[in-house]
Amino acid sequence: MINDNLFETHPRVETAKLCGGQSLKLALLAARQWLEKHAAAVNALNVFPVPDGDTGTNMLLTMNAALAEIERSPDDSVSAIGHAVAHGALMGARGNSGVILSQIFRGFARSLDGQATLSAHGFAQAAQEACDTAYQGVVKPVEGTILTVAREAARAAREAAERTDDVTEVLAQVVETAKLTNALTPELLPVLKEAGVVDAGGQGLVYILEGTLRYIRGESVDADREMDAVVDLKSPLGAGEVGYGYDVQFLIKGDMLNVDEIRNTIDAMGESTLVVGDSHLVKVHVHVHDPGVPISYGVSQGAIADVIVENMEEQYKEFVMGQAKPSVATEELTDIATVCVVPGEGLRRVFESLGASAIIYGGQTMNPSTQELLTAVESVDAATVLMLPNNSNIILAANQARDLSNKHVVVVPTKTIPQGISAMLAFNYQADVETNAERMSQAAGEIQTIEVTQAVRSTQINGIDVTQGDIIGLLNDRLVAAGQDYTSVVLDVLSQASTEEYEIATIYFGQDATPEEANTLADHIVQKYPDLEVEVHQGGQAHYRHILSLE
Amino acid sequence: MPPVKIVVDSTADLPPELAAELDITVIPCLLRFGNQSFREGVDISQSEFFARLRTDPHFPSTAAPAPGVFEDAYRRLADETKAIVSIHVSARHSGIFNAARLGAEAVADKVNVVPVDSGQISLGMGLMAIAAAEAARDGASLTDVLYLVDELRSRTHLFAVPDTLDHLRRSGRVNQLVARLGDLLRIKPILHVHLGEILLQERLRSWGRALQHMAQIAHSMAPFERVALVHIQRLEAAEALGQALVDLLPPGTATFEAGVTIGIHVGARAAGIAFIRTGGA
Repeated sequence: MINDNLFETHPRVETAKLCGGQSLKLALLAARQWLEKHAAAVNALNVFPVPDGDTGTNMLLTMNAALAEIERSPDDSVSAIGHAVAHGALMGARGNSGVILSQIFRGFARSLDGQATLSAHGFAQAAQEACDTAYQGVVKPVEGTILTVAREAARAAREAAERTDDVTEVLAQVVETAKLTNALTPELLPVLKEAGVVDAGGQGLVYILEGTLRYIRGESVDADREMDAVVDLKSPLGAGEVGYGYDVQFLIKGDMLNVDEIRNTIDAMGESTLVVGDSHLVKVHVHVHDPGVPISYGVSQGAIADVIVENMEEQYKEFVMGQAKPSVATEELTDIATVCVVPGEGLRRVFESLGASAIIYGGQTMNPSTQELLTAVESVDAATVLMLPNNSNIILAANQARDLSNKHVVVVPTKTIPQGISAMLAFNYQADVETNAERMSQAAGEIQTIEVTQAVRSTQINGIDVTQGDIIGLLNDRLVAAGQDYTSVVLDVLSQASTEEYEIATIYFGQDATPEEANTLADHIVQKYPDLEVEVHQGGQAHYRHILSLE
Repeated sequence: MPPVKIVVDSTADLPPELAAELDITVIPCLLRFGNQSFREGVDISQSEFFARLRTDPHFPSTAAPAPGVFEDAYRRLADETKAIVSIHVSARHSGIFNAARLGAEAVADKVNVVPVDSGQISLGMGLMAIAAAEAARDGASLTDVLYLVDELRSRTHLFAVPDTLDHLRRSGRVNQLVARLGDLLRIKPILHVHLGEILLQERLRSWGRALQHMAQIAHSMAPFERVALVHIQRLEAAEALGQALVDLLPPGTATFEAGVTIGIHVGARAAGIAFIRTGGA
């Protein structure tokens, strides 16, 4: 850990025209400190919607390794310092950005070979050598990354060195160009744009260069005040290192607030902490598992205001669900679209999550017309379409729609919702439509479907007497049980379904059922079949109180 | 003529005794809890890792060995050989190959190091390394070993069923769109690793069915030259898989527990099979 007062106790660059080994060393130590202050923000620049970005940490660990060897070195040649840093970085490089950083140091050091001091011109040359070495350091250089930032920074250094021999001025140009270039990385690299972030490695390099400049200018690298702006860069998640928990923010108002003490206390409570302010007003931001802990502490320090508590697990789920527009997903992966008929909102979500391209509402007593099915087939952005009717009464209309369409349509004759789900799971993004239709039909045949509902009239079917209002249970569309309550009817059907041979039962509860009711049903099933794993999902369908699958 | 030396990274999941017996040098990958780093299999064992996983507030992450670490290892081996074949995890999925490449360049004047992208992970790569080491032990030249490894790439497959897709999704090493499909339901996916691709071969709802399907797929790809059964904290599943394929397993087939690096990306309670299909000759 570097002494925060380092820059008051050590002299800054002797002259702005030449930089010696000790100045280079101190500038790099400052760069590391500046990076350290911003490492969490760099980590948050993550293209994947999960809170485990570690580019900032990896670059920092690489810097630590690079500087470990020189921290106490009295050497005053830039060549010696440069080579020691390059060697340390090479041994301690972490992650792709760390490896590239190590190559930057390597090229930089090579250019300084045998030099005692560094001039503006020498710096520009070294920056170019660093950039070239970085490009050689990766098998396939990608633009819109730290490499682009390094290249533009080197260009800026060369241009500036032609105008001036002031190292500070050259570095100022480098930093400005690096910042601008990194801000443009989303335009060069689509994954960044989709995720709404700038490149993390590029941002890390910006902080390293900026920390160096701040040292040379004699500015503080104690960063708290600047952090607000940086945190805005973070991914939509606002995620830190540790799994989700809560994102807590609030203000503390008081008379004699001790910012450092508050920061240390909040730091110890969680991750991604940010504590800024003065003796009258402190802003706190922290990721914790229990939001009560920082808030209670805040109250003990002063009056708190503007409290925001967000459940990051929920944000994460929303983000993932929001990103996973399944129709987009499947169309990006295959040119085969799937059109599925489902009878409820919850089931729509299930089918969408499985990659259905188009959903038509329909089912028992609300069969969609041939025209509706045809419209859906025509609406999808694919010439090849698989249709899943998911109800035996809709197969015929699906076949008609197939015959009327100009597209290549194959109907997978799924008779129940669980069959449809099983078929969707069997869809293979690498296979053609015929192979898929066959796989899906086969998968549909391997699942058992149980449906329970209320009889609308009295009758006798399959030797079972049914009175109007009775609860009836169907196994694979065949009436096999009748009774007075849903639980006993479901258990009756299960007893006829060789349930012991299956591993998972899934309950999709209907629009008239509650989650509690479905969970109670699940408990009864587990009691009777302890080896069975039971999942409960909201189906939202009409008529069938519950639809169950056994697989 | 001094023998060709074989180097792998620790994601090959070769047990230390086996690596020592075959004179394979294993370069440990790094894993990190917060700011604390460990070398896989050196500073932290499998059981220590899992114990820490339960108590450490940080989610662990992995990192490639630094280029300088490869450089050092190659330099040490340069006293014993003039040629090294350095076999690594698929370059598409990790920076390890690149770090090895940089290390190799740095020692180019002392020893001829050829880094090879195995296109595989875990024992898929491990089996290739074993075959290469046996050939080297039997006196194969650098050209012979390189030819062999290149030829094995297309015959080597790995299938695995992770308990969930969560870890792979988090690692960003499978197609994000595919990994998200079906995430409302608990899916048991069958992964297929071949020639640098990690594909979601099948998605099933139950572990038993997934295992059964995986056995069927393997069955359809027999006969095998070499087989390794692999698991992460799920020995009984690997053994059941071995039982289902017992007639097809060549002598020397063994069961391995995958290491921590693979474990972080795949998650605990996974099972699979790596094999090299019998060649056309």
